[in-house]
Amino acid sequence: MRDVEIGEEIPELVKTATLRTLVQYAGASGDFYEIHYDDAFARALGLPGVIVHGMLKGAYLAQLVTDWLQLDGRLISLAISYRGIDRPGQPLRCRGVVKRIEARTVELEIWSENPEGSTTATGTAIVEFG
Amino acid sequence: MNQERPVSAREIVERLRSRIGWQSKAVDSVIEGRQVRAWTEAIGDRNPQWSDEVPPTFLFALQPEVLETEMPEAMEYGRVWLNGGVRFEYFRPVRIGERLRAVARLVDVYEKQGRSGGLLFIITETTFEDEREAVVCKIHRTTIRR
Repeated sequence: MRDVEIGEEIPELVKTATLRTLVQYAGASGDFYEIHYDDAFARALGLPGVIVHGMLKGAYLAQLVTDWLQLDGRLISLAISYRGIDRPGQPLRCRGVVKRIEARTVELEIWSENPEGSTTATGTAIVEFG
Repeated sequence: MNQERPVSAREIVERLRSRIGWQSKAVDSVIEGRQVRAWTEAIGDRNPQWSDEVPPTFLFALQPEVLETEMPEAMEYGRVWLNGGVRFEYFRPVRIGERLRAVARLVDVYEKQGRSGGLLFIITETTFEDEREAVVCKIHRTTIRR
């Protein structure tokens, strides 16, 4: 099994979702909720403008883990919670740390940070090596 | 003209809670390469694994859409839908070309008071099975109305 240590930070993944990305993601996912591409609609609901789909952030965090895993292991579970909204056009830093290791099973704490350093999503990924 | 009495938040919660355990009709899908490619391109994930295997969050797009169609009373609560979190459980890798059957269930409904008013939590779980009726993935999802 790959050498993994508790406390090890996995390689970070930075993603910037543009407004075009949000439109593309809406098409790919079937989530056409207007808060993700109609600025006036979003603001009328009290948002600062269109926001990144929560599941797109989830997909970024999943990629963080699968980029690290490559073919050495597979995801057993992935849990994502949201802590803040993200606006398009800003780099989102996806990061992860190894929290637990039990035989070939590794638990990672993962999260996304906006340019101000605030955590906008958190999660746990459980992976199995071999 | 008769004015309809506005439905109280408590009535909405009670009505929805009485439906806990409700299950959707099964929705069958064939995993199409074209749809997976649209997904990976939108995310910008160029991992060559996804030319054959389904990426981890893709099945989210194949959940039976139940909230607005089957629980329209939820739309009377608050003004906006929010994503409250999700948990995927993976039983085995799923390949492009497979046919999966998805069934969604209403697992829980409750209300919480937030800083700016009430929050309605709707918890659903979708189970995906393959053609041998083996579970391949479960998605436990929280959607919020406020």
